Amino acid sequence: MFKPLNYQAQPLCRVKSRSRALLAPLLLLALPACGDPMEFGQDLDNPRVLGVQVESDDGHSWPAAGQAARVQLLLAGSDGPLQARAAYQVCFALETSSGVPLCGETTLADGITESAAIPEFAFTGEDQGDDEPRLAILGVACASGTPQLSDDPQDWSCSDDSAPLRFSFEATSKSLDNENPSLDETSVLLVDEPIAFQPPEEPASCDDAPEVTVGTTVVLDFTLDEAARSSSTDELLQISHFADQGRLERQFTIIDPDEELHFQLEFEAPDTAGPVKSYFVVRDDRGGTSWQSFSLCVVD
Amino acid sequence: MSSSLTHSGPPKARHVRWLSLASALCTSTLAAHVHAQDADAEPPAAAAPEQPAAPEQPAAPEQPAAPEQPAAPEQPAAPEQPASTTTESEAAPPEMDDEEELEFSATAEVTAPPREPTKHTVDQEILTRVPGTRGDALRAIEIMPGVSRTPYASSDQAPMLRGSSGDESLVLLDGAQVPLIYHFGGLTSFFNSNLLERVDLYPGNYSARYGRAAGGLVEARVRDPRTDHFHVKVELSAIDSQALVESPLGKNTSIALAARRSNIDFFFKALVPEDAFSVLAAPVYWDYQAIVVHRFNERHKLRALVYGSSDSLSLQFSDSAPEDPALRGAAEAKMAFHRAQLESINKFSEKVEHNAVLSVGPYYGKQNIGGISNEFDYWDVNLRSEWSVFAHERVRLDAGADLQFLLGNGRYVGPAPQQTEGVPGNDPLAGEKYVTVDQQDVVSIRPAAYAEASIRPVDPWLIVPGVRVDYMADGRKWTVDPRLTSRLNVTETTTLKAGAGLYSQPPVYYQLMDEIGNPDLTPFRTLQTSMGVEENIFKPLSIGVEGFYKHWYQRVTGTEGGVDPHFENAGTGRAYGLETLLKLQLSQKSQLFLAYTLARSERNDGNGEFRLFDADQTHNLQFTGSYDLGKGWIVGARFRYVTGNPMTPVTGSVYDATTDTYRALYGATNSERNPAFHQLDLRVEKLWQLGPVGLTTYLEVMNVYNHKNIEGTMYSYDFSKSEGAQGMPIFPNLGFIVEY
Repeated sequence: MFKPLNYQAQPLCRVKSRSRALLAPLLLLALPACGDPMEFGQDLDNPRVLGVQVESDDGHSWPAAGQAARVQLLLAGSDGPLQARAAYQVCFALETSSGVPLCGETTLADGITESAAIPEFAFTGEDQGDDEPRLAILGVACASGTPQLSDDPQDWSCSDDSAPLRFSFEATSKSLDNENPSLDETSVLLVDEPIAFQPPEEPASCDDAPEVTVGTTVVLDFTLDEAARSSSTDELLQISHFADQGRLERQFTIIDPDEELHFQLEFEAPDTAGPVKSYFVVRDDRGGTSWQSFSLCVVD
Repeated sequence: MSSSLTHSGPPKARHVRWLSLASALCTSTLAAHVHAQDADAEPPAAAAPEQPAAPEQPAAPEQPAAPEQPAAPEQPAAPEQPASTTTESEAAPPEMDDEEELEFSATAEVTAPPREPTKHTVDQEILTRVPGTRGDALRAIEIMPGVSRTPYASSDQAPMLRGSSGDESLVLLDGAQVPLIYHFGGLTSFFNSNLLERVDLYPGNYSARYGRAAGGLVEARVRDPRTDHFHVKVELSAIDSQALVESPLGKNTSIALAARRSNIDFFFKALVPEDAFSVLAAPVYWDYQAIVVHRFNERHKLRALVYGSSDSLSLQFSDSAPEDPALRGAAEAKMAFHRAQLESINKFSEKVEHNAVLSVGPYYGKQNIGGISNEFDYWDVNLRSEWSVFAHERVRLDAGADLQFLLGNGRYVGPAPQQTEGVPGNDPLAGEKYVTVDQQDVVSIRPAAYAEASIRPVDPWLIVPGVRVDYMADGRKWTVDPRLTSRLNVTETTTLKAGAGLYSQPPVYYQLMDEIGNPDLTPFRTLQTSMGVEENIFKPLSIGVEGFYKHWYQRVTGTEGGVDPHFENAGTGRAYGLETLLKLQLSQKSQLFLAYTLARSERNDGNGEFRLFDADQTHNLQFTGSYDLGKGWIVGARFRYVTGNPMTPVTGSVYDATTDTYRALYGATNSERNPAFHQLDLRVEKLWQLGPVGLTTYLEVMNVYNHKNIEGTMYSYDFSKSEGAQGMPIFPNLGFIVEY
């Protein structure tokens, strides 16, 4: 009845396609290709957008009709927090089953952020009716030059031809009842020593940061508070990890609804001493996003 | 499941008069044909195994046809007497006492001359010996022109013929379509190649007797079990282990049993990267076949075939995939099917024959990874009945009907199916919109009827007009496909051939479903034309050149973004090319094939612009040869040079902040190409004959000079970097065969 999906040959260990790599021959025959990826997503080698957060006036992850909301971007690179301006468009997206979302006819807000320090902007929610439309934020951030949007994502660019940081964010009607994960009571320990969080826009610093010896591997112990999950439903949480120096064990940690909110993550210190800035971004599966950051001090 | 099922009885010419008229087409001779003289004579000893004869055999015009009989008993027995496109009669005349008049009878099995413009046959002797195919018969057809190279580890189930995708090809086993052709999507085919007599390839313009496929046809013919004595064959290799036994059961019955199991699981764990997976169940495949043939008499035969196949795998990922948080947890795949097939072959008179085939069996499939699950089970029934009437010495009529019936259930959770060809699939699973489809007691009925006439207005000229009518009950659509082929022997060695016809194919089942497809889809079709010449330069050397053009109408395409109605008949396509095949057959085990195809295949997705087909291969050069060195040594080589497949370049990416993944931005579809593919495979085998027992050792080395063939492109998590995905490295396969 269901024809096996037509899969393309992609080694499973570097799969970027959908389940197409599942079929055993790909796994079986492409095993020799498994190994280190070309790049590690947890390394902040280049300027990147790490997260987008929408928070309405009443604390939900998407505003109801007539309600205001604030949008913040988390940007970082190998040199720490990134200052950039962003061009944005908030809209009802065209109905598509895959691919980059594109805006339909209804735009809720558009513009260019004023401050490069903390790229953020505001918009007001609109009535979505009964059709459960896709709600999207599309944008491009530029560390230099003026960001420019257009109908074709290929043309989202920076006026000085610097590398554009294109991003999209989608929400659905589920987001109206959802809250961003609360990380107020989250703790990160290094050898039982709590690590103090710091604002994401602050650069890495060895002041009050736990010390890690160069070239060694340590274990970071994360414990999230129950408030990270919305009280109304069990949520899957996806935590993304990043560090601008050294290497974290992995980019993603997935906590299923029935799992405890605790996990460990190894950090391999770099070979040179200095401060390291690390971020973790927590997402639920209903459009809610929150993040925190901290510093580690690598010593000889 | 595959989109079409059809049946056909084997094309066999049973009217000797017909054969005599067609003798100019024949390129090989019968292996002994002696007419029956005396029914009281001692039945001849079945000294020789079954001799399925070559497809083009001139018969003595005055002798009656009795094609389904064992070969002349006086032929020297040999462990293997496989069919070949060229068969020489090597029987010594019986010694006769001057005072005694021996009377005996035997007839040879004859396969009809081709009625299609192009029919390539790979016979048993070659099927399991083509280097680089791991002894797989269905892979062996890739040595023929018109067959695109299947990329390494591709899941295309069927061969791609003349610029068509694999799902437009019809693959039959004794006239019945099979649910899955290969284990694990391409490793080896499901049917033991040692039980096959031959594989016939029709790259296009196939007979009106078959349908529901807009491309070409591949038909694997199962041989009858041997009737001389008990045989057993055991084969061990790095890939799998198999056993085959066959034996006569009384005077008129013979049986063959075979089973095979993979060896991959024994060393799979050693290949698994550390900390990447936990192996819950290593990949395992097995298959089995049972064949029973009973000959009631010279005119009636019954064949029963039971076979099945199973693939299974279960892994547990320790972490999510580096670039895709949705790819995690358990990965499981299981596919299994069983079939019972009954074939009745009847010759009611010299002018009337009837074949019928019934195939029944269940299929079960289950695939899970991350949040995607796909589970389905069904029973399908395929029935075919065909009458052949030799209405005139110059006219043969074939008419029949076939029915495809399916009853099944399925449940699917995952991204909405969409157009796959022409759409790059690099985006992660995370963030995909999932659909749930649950279908119970789905019934599909697809009957068809056909008629075909083989007319010889003058001796050298064969014209075959035909028409096929199909009905698709699940879409309430009719199709009518007229077809015409012609073969003209301008000289004894030169044949001109041509063909034209329409070939309709229904959409895939899921494309017709309300939730994820478009119930209003109509079948799409191709107009296929071809023209060529065959020349028998001298007896072992022949050459054929053929040009073809194919056009697609109402091709099923996905809507922009996959939105409702999800699919539409908005596409077209075209493919054209030139195929050349040079064959040198020095003996049964010493043969050389040189095949070259120059072709172009393009698609239009409804936007008015043609772009390259995903598997467009401008040049496809195949050199395959085997040579019998004597004393049990046979060496073989296969060299391939194929233009790299097109690819769609990635020009950038967009960060998806909802899932922390990236989605690619693409350039023009299939506007770039992978590097050309080339590979050399070698095979050497040595047979030691120890009395009745034969011991063979073979070594097959694929990709001898370890060329790094690029089969695709891999990207970093943000698509900022890329590198080629390498195909199969050098791979040796050592095997041992013990045969009695």
